[in-house]
Amino acid sequence: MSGGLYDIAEPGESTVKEACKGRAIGIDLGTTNSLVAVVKDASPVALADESGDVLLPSVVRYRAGASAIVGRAAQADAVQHPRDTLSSVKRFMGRSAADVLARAGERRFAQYELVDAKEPVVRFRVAGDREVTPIEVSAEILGTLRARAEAQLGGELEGAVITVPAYFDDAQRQATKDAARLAGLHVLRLVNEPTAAALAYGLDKKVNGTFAVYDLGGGTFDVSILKLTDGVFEVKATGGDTALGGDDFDRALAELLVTKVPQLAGRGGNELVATARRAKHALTDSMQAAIELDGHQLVFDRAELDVAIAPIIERTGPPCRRALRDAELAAGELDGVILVGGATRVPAVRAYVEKLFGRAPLCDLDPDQVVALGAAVQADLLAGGSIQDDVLLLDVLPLSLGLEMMGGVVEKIIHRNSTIPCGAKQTFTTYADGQTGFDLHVVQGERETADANRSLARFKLTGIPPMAAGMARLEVRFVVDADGLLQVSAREETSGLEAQVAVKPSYGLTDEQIEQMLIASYEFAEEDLVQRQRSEARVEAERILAALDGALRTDGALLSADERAQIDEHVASLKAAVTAAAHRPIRERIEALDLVTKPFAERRMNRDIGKAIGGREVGTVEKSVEHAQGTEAHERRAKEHGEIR
Amino acid sequence: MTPDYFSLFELPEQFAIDRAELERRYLALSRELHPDRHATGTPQERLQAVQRTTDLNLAYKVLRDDFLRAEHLLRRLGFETSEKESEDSRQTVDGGLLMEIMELREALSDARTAKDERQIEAVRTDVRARSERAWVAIRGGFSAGEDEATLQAIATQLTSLRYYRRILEELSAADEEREG
Repeated sequence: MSGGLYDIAEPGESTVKEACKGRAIGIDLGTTNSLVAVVKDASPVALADESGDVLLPSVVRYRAGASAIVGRAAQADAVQHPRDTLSSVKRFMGRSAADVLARAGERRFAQYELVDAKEPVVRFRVAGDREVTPIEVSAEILGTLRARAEAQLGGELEGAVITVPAYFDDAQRQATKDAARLAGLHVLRLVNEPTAAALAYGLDKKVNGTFAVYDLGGGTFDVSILKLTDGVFEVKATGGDTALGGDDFDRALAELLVTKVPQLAGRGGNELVATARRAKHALTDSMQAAIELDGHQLVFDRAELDVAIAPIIERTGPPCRRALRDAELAAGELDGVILVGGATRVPAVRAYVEKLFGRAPLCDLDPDQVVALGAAVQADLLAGGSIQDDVLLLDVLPLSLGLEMMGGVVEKIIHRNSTIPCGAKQTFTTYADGQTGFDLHVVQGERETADANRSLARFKLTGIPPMAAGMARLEVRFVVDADGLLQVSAREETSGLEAQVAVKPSYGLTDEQIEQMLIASYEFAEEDLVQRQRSEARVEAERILAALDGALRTDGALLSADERAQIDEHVASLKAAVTAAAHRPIRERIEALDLVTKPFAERRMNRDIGKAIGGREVGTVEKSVEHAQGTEAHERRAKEHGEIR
Repeated sequence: MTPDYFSLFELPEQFAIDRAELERRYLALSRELHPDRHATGTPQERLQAVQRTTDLNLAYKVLRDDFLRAEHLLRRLGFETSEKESEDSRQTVDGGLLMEIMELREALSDARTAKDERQIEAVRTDVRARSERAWVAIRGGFSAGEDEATLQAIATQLTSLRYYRRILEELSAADEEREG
């Protein structure tokens, strides 16, 4: 393959902004189906494939020595090639083989071959001897949607907003971002699915008020409580279960099928589940469904389905009640409940939601599409192409982040439902005389003990000069960005020793791993990779040059002549690198330019703050935010310094 | 140095707060500072947007919460609350309070061991009543003046509240574990 997809316009031909207008896409990467949407003529639309299908089944079939097949065609192969055809891999994102094996129920009908390894990321053996991770499988799906969008929009995309379940933890979010990177997509933002849905609904209805979004997809359940105020979508609380969805209904029904006709027990799991799914779909509109399998005539009625899935539906209750409690609301105070996700078509689910919230839910937008439509709106906003200039999403961290302390208990550093981006720092000390290192174990979850929570990363800070116990002062800093991704850094204050960790090493992919995966995908040769790196660096440089150009045109007056000359010099240098060089010099010059534009960015930001509150001296604002960090840590420091083992 | 959250929102530095106004200004500042509003900016602008929104979110969280706001205000008034240095806090926490908390915890732990729901609820009600009394004293203190003795009295009440809050938090965490 040539680098055709990655070619970009030569610099000077057009500015990036013009070239990319309307080419930011929203992708709903779902457990059972995925889709892509884009804003056209000020409203979001889902893009269909050549045969008119909007939904791409999230199914990938691998073949030896050939590229993978994605979607409906792969689904059709599932019965014949059960081990090479992977579906519902979203359930395995950010998970280890041990995590997956621990959930035996989930594997009852699965026919995947897991690679038995102690790897931090689960792997499946497919197409003979190939091993793939859920990240690679997801990248195939994302790549298919990317190609669909590029074919219809004509060329390079500005970037993508990818939705994730609100209740995804850090590992699952990172895995999703890695998959997008592998698929060659520039991720503008990870957005929570219920938030995206609320965006689509809110803009459609132009409402203010407080709403609950009940999002039951193929494999994940989320509930979010949002307050809509004149275009600001503020998430108040979120809850959910990342291993609960319509898939579970299918499996419950498949169990029932085997109970009814024991001879079917030997059939392939994929086939049984597919049959169960057909029955479920038929029972959405009728009270009875007749299904045939292997010459067995089976009749299901809706009451049977309802009984079989009732325990699954009831698992959505506690997260909803907790989200309401966290938002300090009673169900009666809500202005509406919005249904999202294909599984909310099941009548029993609707009845349950109505009972739970005491009101009939809203479901007038297509529950399969609404998340992608909202993602497209957010993508359009982020790419700067939007007319919805007053819209803003304020989302939250779904699960608390903390550190393991002596005795295995968790000290929470950032609490769940904190608005992101957010940060906190906390000071710890040594517990033993002469202790020269700290072991830091970062965990996510609400439970009291570390081993009951999700382990995100372990790292060490060593080389501290020996001191008496309690003398060293270790400041640990947590920062969560707008994608909900965590970075942790630690610093021993008496010695100045530092350690930093993007919470990746335990499960994220390195650049090298991504390269290897690309080569293994049979679609990339090594020269393609070089080409891709260069074109990515170029696109990035173009983006920055366009942004800076715009800023200089509107706010050039904020700079002195000297400062302006310095910036211009670096701009020229980067432009030269873009036309000629390989990716590394481009990256270096991007960094150099970045550094000299810092004061400019600060001044622009101060001016914006002044605008928000009106007529205030910028200096005082600057002072007020300058040290405005770390108070969160004070909040919990009542007793004594924590001691990290 | 203690940051000045009140002036970030252009609100008077006092305990009583206009919540609607605070929220309105928070949303207005978010509209200017949020990373989404700077997504097409230079990397520096994007970085600044993240940092400043992080600060803004923290400031909002502190001012919105009565307890955190009281603590912040004390610090702004130059009165270090005892939690700042743990060693100090052990010394300054009054023996009577420690005894009170120990008794409350004992009552709670007995009730839990006995799985006596009514007794657990009784402790919760008791701690809430104590919290409410502390709040009455704190609100009165802040409106009375800013002299050393008044601030000391407020700080003492806040210390008690901190313990009450922890007990109440643990109780609701236990509720949650039970609910699943």
